[in-house]
Amino acid sequence: MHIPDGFIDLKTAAVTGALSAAGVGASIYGIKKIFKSRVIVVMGVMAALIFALQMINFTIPGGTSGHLLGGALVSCVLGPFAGVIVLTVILVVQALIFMDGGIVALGSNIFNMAICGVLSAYLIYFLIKKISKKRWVLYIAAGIASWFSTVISAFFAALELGVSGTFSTGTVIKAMVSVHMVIGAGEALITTVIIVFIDRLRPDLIITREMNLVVKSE
Amino acid sequence: MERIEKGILGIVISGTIVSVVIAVFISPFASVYPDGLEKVAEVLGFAGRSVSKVSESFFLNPDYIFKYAADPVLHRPLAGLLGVIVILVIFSAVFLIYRAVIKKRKNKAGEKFFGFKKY
Repeated sequence: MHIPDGFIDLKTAAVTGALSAAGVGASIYGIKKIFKSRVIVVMGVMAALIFALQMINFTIPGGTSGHLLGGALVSCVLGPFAGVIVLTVILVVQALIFMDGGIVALGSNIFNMAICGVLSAYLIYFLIKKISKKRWVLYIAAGIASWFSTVISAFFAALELGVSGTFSTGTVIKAMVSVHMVIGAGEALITTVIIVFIDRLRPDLIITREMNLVVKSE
Repeated sequence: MERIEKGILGIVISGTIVSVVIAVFISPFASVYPDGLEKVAEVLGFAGRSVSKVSESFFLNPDYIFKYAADPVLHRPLAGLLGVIVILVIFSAVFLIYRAVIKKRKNKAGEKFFGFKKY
């Protein structure tokens, strides 16, 4: 749901841009506690993987398509700060090199996907994980969290469209949220499969297992 | 010097291969339908408002089309490959800078306490 330039007005772009800058800044500060060589490497590999997966649109009934967002995937593995940073890097590369998402709207896209999407996913994942330490609970948590991340990102994108006067807020929110509830199912499936895969092969990579809301330094 | 475990190389290699395979070989088969936002914009009628604030020549690969390739079949795969490479380069740079900073700090600490450089 990369918003191109022209869909949102300048004030909305400015406000979401400022919020994004604050969010990314906070994440760069917050990631210090877990910032080690190994985490940087995993962030890089996940960023490349998610970029590639974002290119793979899958058809949704109704003449539309969706693609993985990936915010939940990263934050469930490496935590919220890494999630914000990885998604931001992807979105910046997409906007500047591939014209995917506007330049003025970049702050808005970062706010919707890299911040709201990532943080909402992590919060939900974290809360569900508290129920039990069992593996399958982790998997379900990741699935539900990723569904929410898609829907919530879409909600904020729609809200910005409404606030910008591009279309009636109520209508565009209904349209965006309903479409992305379906796309979210794809996100949940892909995310859960990948999380299961990582957990089976290299469970040590999922550092969110040891995390409280803010990670404890090791 | 902070040791990196051996298993990490396997992750880098396998992750890179998977990313490249997806971006290069699977991307041409991606759905051609407009994505959720584009579809909503079309249906509700504001799709026409999309305008680029910067001229299209600024972008290396607008709309994931590697325009320097002669054969259109290569457009999307090569664009995907370029994206994966750019992202890996960015994080490699972060990694190298981080390692250099850590090394410098450890050397400085070594000098203070023992009067010789720690490796």
